[in-house]
Amino acid sequence: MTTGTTVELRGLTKSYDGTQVVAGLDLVIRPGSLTALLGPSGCGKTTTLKVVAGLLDADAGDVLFDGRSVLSLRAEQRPVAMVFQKPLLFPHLSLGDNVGFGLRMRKVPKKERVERVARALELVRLQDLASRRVGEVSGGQEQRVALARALVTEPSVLLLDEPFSALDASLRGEVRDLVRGLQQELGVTTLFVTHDQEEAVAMSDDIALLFEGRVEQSGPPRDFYAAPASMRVARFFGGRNELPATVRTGMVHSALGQWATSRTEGAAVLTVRPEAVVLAAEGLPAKVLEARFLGTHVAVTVELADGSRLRLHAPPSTALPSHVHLSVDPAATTLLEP
Amino acid sequence: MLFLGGLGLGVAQSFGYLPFLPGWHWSLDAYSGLLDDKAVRQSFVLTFRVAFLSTGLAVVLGVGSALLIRSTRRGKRLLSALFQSTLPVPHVVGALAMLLLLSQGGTLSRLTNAVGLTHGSQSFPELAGDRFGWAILAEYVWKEAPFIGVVVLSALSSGVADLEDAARTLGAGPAARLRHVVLPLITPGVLATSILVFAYSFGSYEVPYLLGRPYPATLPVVAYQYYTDVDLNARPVAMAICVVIAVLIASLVALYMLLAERFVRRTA
Amino acid sequence: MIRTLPRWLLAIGLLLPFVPLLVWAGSGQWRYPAVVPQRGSGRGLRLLLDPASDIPQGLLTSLLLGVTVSVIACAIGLCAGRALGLYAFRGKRAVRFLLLAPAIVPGLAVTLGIQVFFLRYRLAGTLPGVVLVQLLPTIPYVTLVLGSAFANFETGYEEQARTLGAGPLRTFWHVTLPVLRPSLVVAAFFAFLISWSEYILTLLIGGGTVKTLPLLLFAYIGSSDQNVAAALALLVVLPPFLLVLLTSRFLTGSQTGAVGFGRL
Repeated sequence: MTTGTTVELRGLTKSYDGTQVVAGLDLVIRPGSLTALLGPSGCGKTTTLKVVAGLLDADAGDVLFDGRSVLSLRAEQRPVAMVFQKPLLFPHLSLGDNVGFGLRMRKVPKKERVERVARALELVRLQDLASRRVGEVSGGQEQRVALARALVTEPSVLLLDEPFSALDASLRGEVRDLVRGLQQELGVTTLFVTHDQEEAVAMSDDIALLFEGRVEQSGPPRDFYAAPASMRVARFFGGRNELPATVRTGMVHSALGQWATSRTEGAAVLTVRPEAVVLAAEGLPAKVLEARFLGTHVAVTVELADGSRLRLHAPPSTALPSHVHLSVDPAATTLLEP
Repeated sequence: MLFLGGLGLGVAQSFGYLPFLPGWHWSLDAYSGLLDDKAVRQSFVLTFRVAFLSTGLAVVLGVGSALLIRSTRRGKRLLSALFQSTLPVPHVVGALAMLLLLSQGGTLSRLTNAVGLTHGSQSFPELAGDRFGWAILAEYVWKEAPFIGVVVLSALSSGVADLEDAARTLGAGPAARLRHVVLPLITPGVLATSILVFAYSFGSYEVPYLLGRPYPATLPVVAYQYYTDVDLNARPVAMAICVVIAVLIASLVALYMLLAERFVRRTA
Repeated sequence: MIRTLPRWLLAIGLLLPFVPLLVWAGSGQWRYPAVVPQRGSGRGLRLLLDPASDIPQGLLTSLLLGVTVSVIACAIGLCAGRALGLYAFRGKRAVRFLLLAPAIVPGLAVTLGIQVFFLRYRLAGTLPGVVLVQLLPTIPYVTLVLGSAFANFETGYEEQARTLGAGPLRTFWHVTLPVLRPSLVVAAFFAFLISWSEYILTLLIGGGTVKTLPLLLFAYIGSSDQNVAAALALLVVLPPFLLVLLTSRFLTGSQTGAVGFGRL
């Protein structure tokens, strides 16, 4: 049982061949939390993870565990464990010996090693497979062995580098639940790299969204829906309606109406999630262009008076006339820089 | 296509195996003679020693060089190109090079003479045409160590760096990574290759002929001597030697295949 | 310096044997104990091109043999490799063993036995005879290279071509061959190299009539004319080096590893 380590990244910078992959990245990871490093490919998230692990040296910046810099420690000395995209099990060892590898490196006596390996395999529900060889079990099972191999050393920080991306969709959910369950049970601070925003939202306590080697926005997953910090964040999470708007004398003007705002004057984009647009008896008139029944709701596309289009979710039982009225809560909209 | 393939294989087999038949028939009575023949006994010891030592040295130097090249940063391409430069050199050429380099009148002898380590060609140690087979050994190691090294490098190129990273995050330092990750991974390939090397240095003719002495000579040289002997009665002995070589090496091939299969399965 | 020392030693160890070859080839008189030759001379190199010597003829013989052996071995290897790589059949292991064996069992041991056959069928001392005997060590290598290529070959390409209206021959020519081209180049290179370097098989079956470059080189080494021997040695290593340069982009480490230069 780990009490949880705070991980802090300060001004991390790393370049390859003159291109900055990580460009002054700052991030604090709360003790015991599962934090997702989310971002499009090439945004520097795996590089960041490898710097934390010690597999790569940063050009500048610092990595602190509980306030102490770990830069002087080599990868093998840091209290971290990592699970990679591929299981990377050692092909010449049995599954049990793979799990025991880290303990062997730490010179744990054989008897204790055997017990701890058995317990770790039990955690990932593979207790019967210790004597099997690599290649004799499925990809999902191999990844679970890799997880056990990482956890058995009782690391202060667990690093996961897209550990589910190589798995089939059906297996992915299962291993994902297992990881989340174990992480909460053990309370180990976990940094988790993914490019899949749904996965990040479903699994993590906090998300740090990276663009071009910097943190664009960080915080709990719901913040990214409720209050995206920029157009890029809104677009990365997707699904939002975007309407042109202008701010004049403290008022927003858009096809949805006008209301007071504290934003600076000038052109802006008003974004609103489809769920925040509701059908009403009266309000904004709109013409229904398309309605698709999706089981839990009807996805409706409407055209407003000025010609701009809006997507919204209607309850599945609604009978849709060709013309409708809409109501939008200004508090559910977000005004962003274009 | 299957038929044609089978036919092709049949041809290959008939080439490889029909030839053994006369050897078998002719030589049954020659085996007892083999054991009594002092030249053959000495030759067997020499052949085995040369093959064993050259394989061992080639393995050690080949693996060492491969690891060295792998850890090289500057000039890595050049070094590995140099490393592979001996591979396409025919053994006859390699033998001549060693002769010119190592014999008592050779380049090395001239150099040691010039700096005063030796005095005259006679005081330079007899390295070519000697009883021990130094030059033969040198030629084999020069050719085969890079061969083993290339196999090691190719075994190390695919994903081993990732496995080493995984080992690092599990607390394995440089020595532990070499001992517990790198060496176990290259062992099957090195074993399989060293069998090839052993088989070659055990059975090849031209290098020991050019760099060794006529007596004691290695088994293939002795076999050839008997074969070309004016006395036709010596022929069964030549055949018997060949059969001994062939059987010994064929059993090594069987071992090689077992190892190779395991190797392929592991790296698949 | 301490860190790079082993690398320098490795480089020197690899290159050192080439040095006397190069110096001898371009030197005239070089008496012991001089470290550098008394005088340089082009005699050795000139003799390579001298029509009066048997070297130009030997070069031609070697090239002809190498190309012929390479083409035939590839043709047979394509069929055998396909069977081995694509299809599973009973006794595949045994076939693989039989295939590998002649590549590793020393040529001398095999050839002493079959020389009788070659004599009986009047193949000894002829070029076809030498081609035939050189196929013995080459076919296994070619088959192994092409077999592993076929093991990764997607037969879907051929089926696709057939559905697009190509007959079996055109499918083979326009689809199968181009897909296998890299492996085919490597296989042909191996076959040529084996044939080019072969000594003992050529000697036994060629009976001194078919004089390839290695045979001539052997004779010159025996004659103690080191200038000519060294010059000839350079001529013998030149084509393999050129071929390595030309085919290097097709040569992957694993192919070198799987098949190996073990015999060369």
